[in-house]
Amino acid sequence: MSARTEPESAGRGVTVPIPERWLLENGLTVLHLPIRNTSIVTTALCYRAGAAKEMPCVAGTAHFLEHLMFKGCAGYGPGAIDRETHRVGGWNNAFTSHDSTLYLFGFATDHWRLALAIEASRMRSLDLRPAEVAKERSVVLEEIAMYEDDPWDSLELAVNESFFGTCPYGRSILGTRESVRRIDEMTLREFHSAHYGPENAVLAVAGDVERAAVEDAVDGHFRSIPRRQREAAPPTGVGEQSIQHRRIDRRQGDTGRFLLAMGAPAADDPAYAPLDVALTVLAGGRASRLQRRLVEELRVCSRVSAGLSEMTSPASSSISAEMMPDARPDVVERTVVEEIERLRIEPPSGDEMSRARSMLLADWVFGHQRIHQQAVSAASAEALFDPAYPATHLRRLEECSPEQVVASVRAHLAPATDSVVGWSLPAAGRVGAKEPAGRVAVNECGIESS
Amino acid sequence: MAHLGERIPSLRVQRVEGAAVVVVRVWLPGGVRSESIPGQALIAGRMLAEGTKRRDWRRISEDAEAIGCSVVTAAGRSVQAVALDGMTAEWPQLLEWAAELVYEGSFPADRCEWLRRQAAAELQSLGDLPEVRTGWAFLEQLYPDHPLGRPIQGSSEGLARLTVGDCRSFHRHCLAAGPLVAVAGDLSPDVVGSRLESLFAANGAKVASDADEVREGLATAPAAPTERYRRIDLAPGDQAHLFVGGLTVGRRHPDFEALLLLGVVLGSGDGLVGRIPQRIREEAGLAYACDVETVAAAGLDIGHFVVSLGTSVDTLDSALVAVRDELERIRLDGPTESDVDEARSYLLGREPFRRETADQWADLLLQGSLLQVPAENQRWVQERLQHVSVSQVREVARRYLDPECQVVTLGVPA
Repeated sequence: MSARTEPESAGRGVTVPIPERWLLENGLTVLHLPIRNTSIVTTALCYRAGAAKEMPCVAGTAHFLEHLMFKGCAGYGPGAIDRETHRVGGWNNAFTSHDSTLYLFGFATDHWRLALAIEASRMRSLDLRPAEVAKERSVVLEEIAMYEDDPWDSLELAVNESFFGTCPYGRSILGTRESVRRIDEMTLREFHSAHYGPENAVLAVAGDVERAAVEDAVDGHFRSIPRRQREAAPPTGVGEQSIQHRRIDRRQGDTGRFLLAMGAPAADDPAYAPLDVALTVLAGGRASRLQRRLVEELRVCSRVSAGLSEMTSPASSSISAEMMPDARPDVVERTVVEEIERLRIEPPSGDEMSRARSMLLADWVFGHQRIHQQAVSAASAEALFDPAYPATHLRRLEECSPEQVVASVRAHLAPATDSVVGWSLPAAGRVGAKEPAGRVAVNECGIESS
Repeated sequence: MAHLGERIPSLRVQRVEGAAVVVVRVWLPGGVRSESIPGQALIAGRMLAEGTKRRDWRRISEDAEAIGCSVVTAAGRSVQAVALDGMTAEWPQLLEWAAELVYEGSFPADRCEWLRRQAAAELQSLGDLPEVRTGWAFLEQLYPDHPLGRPIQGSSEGLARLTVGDCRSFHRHCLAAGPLVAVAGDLSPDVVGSRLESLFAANGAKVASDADEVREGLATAPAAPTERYRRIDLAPGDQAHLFVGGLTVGRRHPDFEALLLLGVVLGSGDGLVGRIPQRIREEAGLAYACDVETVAAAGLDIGHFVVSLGTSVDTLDSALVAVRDELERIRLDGPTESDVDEARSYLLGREPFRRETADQWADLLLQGSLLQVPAENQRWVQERLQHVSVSQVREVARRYLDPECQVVTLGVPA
């Protein structure tokens, strides 16, 4: 099976390359994205298996496995994948999200086949030596400690956990210290066996390489890998949010940090692009409403930003702000809520719409300059949404109306009822806030639990 | 007719095929190395987007964001920087704006006051990050009483006494050295070059050598570190942080490439390859991230080698011993021939990845202009690496990894 699509126009002279696509008999989807003006080839292998597919008691398995994918497989003993990559000037990396795990290689044109050899070997089987697993567990525990020591990361983890409740998106991708200590070779092997089959993966090859060469190399390395015998059980609880208004109050560092988590549709939902525009109107750039009010007029924050998760199921959006030393948290929080409420009622102006669209389009283009970014985008779209997802998203951004923006805000941004308000404030209580209404007891981790 | 870069070496244009983007970068020799008040360079740099004779800060941001253009003005160790990123079709506008920001700054006093307060808040916020706090202490030890020994934001005391006049005069001083300009994107160098020349050449962009004296004379060389060991208290937390390092060389020093190769042998390359990450993470599982550099911050001024990592308080001593062991082992025994060959192969192979995007090209062109080395020329870079011998790498290991010249900084949570 093969399909070829011409680049899709996303407006304003921007085109989105659509890769050639074919399927091996074992179910592996292959994408080829030829890019001629380069001497680089990158590969992105995306498995439709991330932290959302773990059992909660062994949270962190997908991420732990991602580490161990570099620790040994047939033909590549511990450390060999990095050494072989490095020797020819290449690089590799991997990322675990809730929805997927993605492995990347970048090589000069004459070495890219090494990436496929490695990916095929570790797709077939892993060599999980107990000593390597034990060492890597220590590394993961250090990674968890690193995140917990960072005031923003730790606040975000606490807010996500509270926002998503029992939904897997609320679990830390790294897991907890306790869950990571529970993960053994058997758990890792089972996760690999259940999810790391060719039928559950998309391989993108992008750069200065002909289709025939890609086909030849993919056939040589992957065609003989059998489909997994066992169908992986679908994750439970994804998209099942039961949001109420909750508050989290932490004490860490000398700077006040505010994080408001609210709802968001799945990334391929038609309401996603209008919400993206809404969040940009609110907090994207210096001319945005919250930047103007909190940073420039009231001067209570040094910076404000917005976030929107790009997930396969309904997830979260956020507004975050870092406070000036003498500012009052209640002023910050009230202003954020006011501006969201205003956008629920009053559509953005034509200038605001145009500004937000221009900024989002430019962000996308700048974020896809590098070949590996294009490979990641193509592989993720194919694995999690559909091949046309990036072009569809950009077209929706371009076409969405102010009324759609308001509708999306009404559907997803409800700071007073369906949200988690997270504060990380200086331990000394130096700031002049009145006590936030409805605050509940904080447990020993500084996280409100009910 | 000679192309623009030959006629006026400080104005450079590079065609980068692919994405429909253009980046415009202007560097003014200056930066933290030449400031007299801590924080002066950064605030003077940021002030460039706060108002011009034509527009106030609101109009500057609104006009830019209306066409999806980002405008960042700031300072680094050696330069003041204006950076505009936008879509290719907007290049004439971006060039115009860049010239306006550089030449027509109005330096409004109320914006200066606000930027000073914001920078002080940034300092406080960054100080909440244990690795940053430890890193600041490390730089202070390494570059005692020197501008490079402090954060780019300066200090709260420096920021508090900074005036808008200080910023204006600093900018004027930097401008006197002549702006270095680079434009990169999917565009025609000839067409862009003409416009660039008309905007900047008449306004003081000089051949690079004219500005040498200004650039070289701005900062004094750092004194040898005297405080060899420092332990600082961090806020309560899980990880301790370790920095070990010493002074090495500037970018134009003949040992630079040998130090680059030594860095890769030690662990400055991609992934977990290299003696120190191997020992710390792969063999002992002591840290998630273990960073190694041998020419960190090497530019006009002397750079440094640094090994940094975060680890549990219980394993901090083991990590320090392991790092020092590896540094001493390579100093005494030197890297093997195969170590150096592999490092060289890595550095040669990575060059295409340093030239993928318009902003990478612009930065390389500007480094070339500032440092007067053809940093953007891949063949030149690769030839320099090819000519380094194993014995030269062994020699730089002996010379720059001397434990008597190293500083150690430990950040330990309360």
